Amino acid sequence: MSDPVRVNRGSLTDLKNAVDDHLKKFLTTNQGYTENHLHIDIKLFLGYLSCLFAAIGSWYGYVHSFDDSRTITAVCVGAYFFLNVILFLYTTFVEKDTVFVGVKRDPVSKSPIEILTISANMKRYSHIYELTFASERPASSKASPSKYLLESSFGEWFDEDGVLHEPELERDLKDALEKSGTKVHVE
Amino acid sequence: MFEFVEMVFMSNFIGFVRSREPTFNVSGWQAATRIKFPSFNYPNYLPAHGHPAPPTMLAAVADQVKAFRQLNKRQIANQILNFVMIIASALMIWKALSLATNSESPIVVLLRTRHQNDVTLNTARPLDVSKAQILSLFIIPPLTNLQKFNHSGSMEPAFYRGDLLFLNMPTSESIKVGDICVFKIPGRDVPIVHRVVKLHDEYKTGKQFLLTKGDNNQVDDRGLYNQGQMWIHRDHVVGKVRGFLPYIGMVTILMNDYPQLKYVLLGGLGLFVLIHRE
Amino acid sequence: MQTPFPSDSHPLCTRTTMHNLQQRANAVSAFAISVLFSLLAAVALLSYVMPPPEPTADVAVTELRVRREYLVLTLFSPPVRAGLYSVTGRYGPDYFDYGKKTNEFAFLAFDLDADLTPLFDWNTKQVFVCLVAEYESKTHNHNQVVVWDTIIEDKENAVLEFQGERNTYALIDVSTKWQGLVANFSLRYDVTPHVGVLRSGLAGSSKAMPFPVAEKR
Repeated sequence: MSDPVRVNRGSLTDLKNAVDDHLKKFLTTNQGYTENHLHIDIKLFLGYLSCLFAAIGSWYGYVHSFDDSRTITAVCVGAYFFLNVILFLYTTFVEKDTVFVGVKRDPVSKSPIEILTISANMKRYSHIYELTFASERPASSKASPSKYLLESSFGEWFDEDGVLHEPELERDLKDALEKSGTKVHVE
Repeated sequence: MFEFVEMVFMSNFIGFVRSREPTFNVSGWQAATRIKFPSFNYPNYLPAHGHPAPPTMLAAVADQVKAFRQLNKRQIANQILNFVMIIASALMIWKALSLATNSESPIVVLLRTRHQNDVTLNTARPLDVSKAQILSLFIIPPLTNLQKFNHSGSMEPAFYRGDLLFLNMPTSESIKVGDICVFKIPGRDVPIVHRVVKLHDEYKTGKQFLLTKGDNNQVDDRGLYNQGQMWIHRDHVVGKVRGFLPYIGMVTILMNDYPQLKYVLLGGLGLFVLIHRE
Repeated sequence: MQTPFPSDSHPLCTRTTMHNLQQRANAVSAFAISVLFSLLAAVALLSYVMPPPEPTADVAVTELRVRREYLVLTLFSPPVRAGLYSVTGRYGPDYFDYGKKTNEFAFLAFDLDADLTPLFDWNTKQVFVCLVAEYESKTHNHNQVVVWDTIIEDKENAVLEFQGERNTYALIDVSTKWQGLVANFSLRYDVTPHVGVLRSGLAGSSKAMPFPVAEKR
């Protein structure tokens, strides 16, 4: 990419997002994984559905008087909060801290060879970013996925201006992929 | 067995990473002033590559917009969802509050006053009109068509301009004299916040006949009611004032007096939420 | 060579401080607002949970008369404060209450001895006190009419001692007749706090006073 990715060096969220975005790009284009969008799709669906209920409730209350619209408003408010609770539970307990879920398929039979799940952990005000690579092979007999923890400072991938240095990041990612038991595809 | 090997291996690697923890030399400030500043855990960044960050905030915002354009469809949908969720949450909390308090507008703000010379047969005196403005958490678009303006004089010294009032309308409790009520005269979109001074409950129908008056006014509100209307009833009352917070409503007043400020604020906030990734 | 951050030898140091400034201002203001609101909520809650004690009052109505009053319709007439038999605070419009010659108005003089100082604590902004005539009639089972009110703002003025005080507002019933009705005159108060929940209550009540027959002019 000709355009360098520059982020605000002081914002941990920006740094994390830049690393996550590049990670996804690297794994899908370079390493042959197909990203599984289940988590974000479900979150988007739940979110937009709750907003739809909110819109219906508000519109109905606007058009009709307060007394007439009481039941519909109550139903919509209840549905909105219920869906938001479901969304929160999904994000906290099902998705947890997953950043990327990718599948590597056999080019001939289209059956999954490997499912790679990457979850990220970051402590508050700390520049250390922990990425856990969990590689699961449905074909093999192993029950639990083989994990590898890549723990690194943001300073190793970003320079003083906040520009992301892709070679350094990709080097670390390749390293982590190897150690988690994947065959790394060398360009 | 494999787990054990893995753990040993990983711990080695972790140790390897940790040993490269940053150390930094005393900065120029500390050397100059000879004060020992507390040491922050800053990372060592790679040397600059020749893409300096823009010096102005506007250019930094342009940077973020550029980053925004590089998002894929799902991420853009996520950003839009964040924006819409804020509006929806505000609206739903407002509706939930109004359902809980059984009143159309559970929170009102006392706004600008207006003297009105009402020369009709009702009254010939210059009358201070009372209105109060609905609070819109400024993210909520003004869907409510209730515009309340309270003459800060007519309920002084209790309520002044910019005060926040919390209303409720319990179905079990009846209105008593001395209660401060927010009521709307039919045909006028001008809700008024005044105290009840007369109350007559009809035995047969259970209908309440109410007369109101502002504390600081010399006369009662019959001059404000419709022509020929001498009383108001319970269904005209939006709510009874229960809670009170001074000065907080000044934000809404400012946004009412300067609508450009409202658009700028809302627009800026909206843009910020859309662009900024959590 | 790796230099620590922030590096004050960097020529463009301002950009990092600008971002930092933005973030810090944002964080500080968010924190300040949340602290302010939790403080206000705490004050309101504390006042609600620990209200000041109830005050006591003695109300005695010494004189109660009923007269038929009416006024010639005039367009501009300021309220007149005069003797016992003149209407002082008028409930307008004038033609409604005072246009008919058969409307009966009640006039009273009362003695008040009330100590409202317990109501004034750290969170009291003002106390609105009113003397209310409460009665039942054949057609209306619950009637309340304010005949006199005052607003107390300081603790020093909170002791009310009046003898022979007149009513400031006209006392007229919906049916415009006082025949056969009996009323209690009670002192009600309404406390407006600086922050929190409004409180109202009853301080004291007079004994039941029957309304006399309307006097002949």
